[in-house]
Amino acid sequence: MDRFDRWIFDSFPVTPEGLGIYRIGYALFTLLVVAPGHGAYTRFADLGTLPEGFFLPPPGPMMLVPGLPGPLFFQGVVLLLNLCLVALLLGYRTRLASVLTTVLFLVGFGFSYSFGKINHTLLFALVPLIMAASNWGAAYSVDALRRQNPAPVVAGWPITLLALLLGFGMFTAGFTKLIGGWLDPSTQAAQGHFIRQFYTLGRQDFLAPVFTRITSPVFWESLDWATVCFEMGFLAAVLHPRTTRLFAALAVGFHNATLLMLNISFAVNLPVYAAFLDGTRWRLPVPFPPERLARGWALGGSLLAGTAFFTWIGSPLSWLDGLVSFSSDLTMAEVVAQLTALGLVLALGAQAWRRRRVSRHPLPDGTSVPSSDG
Amino acid sequence: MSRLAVRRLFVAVLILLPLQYALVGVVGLRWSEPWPALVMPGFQRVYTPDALREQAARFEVTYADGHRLSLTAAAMLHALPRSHHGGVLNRQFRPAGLSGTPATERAREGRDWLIRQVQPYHPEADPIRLDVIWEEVRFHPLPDAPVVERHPLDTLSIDLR
Repeated sequence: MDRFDRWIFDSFPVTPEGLGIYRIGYALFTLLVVAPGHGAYTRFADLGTLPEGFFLPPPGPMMLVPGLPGPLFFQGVVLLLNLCLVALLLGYRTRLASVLTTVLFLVGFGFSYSFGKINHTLLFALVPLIMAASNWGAAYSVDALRRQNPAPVVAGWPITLLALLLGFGMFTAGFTKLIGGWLDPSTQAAQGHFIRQFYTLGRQDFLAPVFTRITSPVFWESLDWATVCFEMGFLAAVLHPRTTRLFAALAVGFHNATLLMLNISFAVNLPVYAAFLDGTRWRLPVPFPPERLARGWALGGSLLAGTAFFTWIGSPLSWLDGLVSFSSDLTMAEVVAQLTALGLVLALGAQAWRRRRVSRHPLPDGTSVPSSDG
Repeated sequence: MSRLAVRRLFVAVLILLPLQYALVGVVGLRWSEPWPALVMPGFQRVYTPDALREQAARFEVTYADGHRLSLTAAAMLHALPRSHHGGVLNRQFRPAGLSGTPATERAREGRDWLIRQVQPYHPEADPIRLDVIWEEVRFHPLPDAPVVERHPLDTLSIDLR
């Protein structure tokens, strides 16, 4: 029981400040990249324009819904979702905003996946619900500024729970490939999917044309094996925080490889991986939110202005799409998010490698190496 | 939450995760993938690169003045994400002759919506028929891989009058 307890409660130490910054990061990522109401997978209002006859809910709770609601319902979902995300950003009624964010995403995605295709975004939607239990609104929040009682205790176990769910989810992806025959040396599954994406779905951006010239079965088969081993190995990796972080870092590289080769983005998983970063030494350089925003009209005005901006104007990052035109369905916001995450992983990896080298070969007395804190 | 409650939560999750995955497999075999379920994209199907065959659909509209227009799935289904188009075409726009069930011809029920999608491309005349033409597309082996063959399979014709 001791080991089980240590895994649950001690794997990921947290501080109010680290959790607060993670909460702000999740809200900003969602408003800017996922962009409720404007992103390719969150233009829920468009669903209300589809014919009732197209509504074909998958097995599950959506089958209890009597029919497809009108556009007004979906506009309401988008409006409330943006309101909850702005509240999450400011840390206003954080727990309620977290729970409602998950519920509203489940409603929106539930309808979106009721026309014949399901995307695997459940874990991204569950993050606020799970992290609400960590008290991620304890710092850098309106709740903290208005609090008169002692600060609530923060908890790290929700991050372990998130790791378990992620590990299992990744395992299912690998296991499906395993039973599908990906490890059969006579077939190169990754190559088959690549050709299909390239020619039938028009995913021909970035490095995709380069891969059409690679015909070596050894190369493609090694990709098949690496993919299956990585995805199935994730479940074992979540048993230790260090391997969880290593696999999360590898996952960022894996998603960037699929972005550059297959032009498929899985940016929605980035906030999940970010939960495993060690945030115990994180601090914001400026007070957030500003004290004057914590009460009365200023608070109400901020919530309304933020909600109106993201509902009717949308993410400023979507303006980047005007600069580049892709043959695939990628958006610049996704590309920027994934490449930024890769840069961050490489920087953190280099920092960890430098630290390790210094600790193995200590410098002579009188010399020093700048710490990671500057 | 107390430590005991958290411990119980983890035990429950550890039991439920494999059970829900088994359920996903059973329900998926009988009907289709359930939602919500904690699974990640599997890309299970293994394609053979040197004999890649893909069934694809394209749209052809006939207007009252005799004008005919070809449209892609992306143009017709722009209300949905592009990665959903294949699934939607298979579940809603596929002739019973290919799927074995008229349930995949649900697009017929969306006549008014279909008219609204195709009318702006030729506002001078009313659209009178929409053909969803299904073809098998075959590709050459790498590295050239151009489309080599388009073989018609079946057509779903929808009367828009």
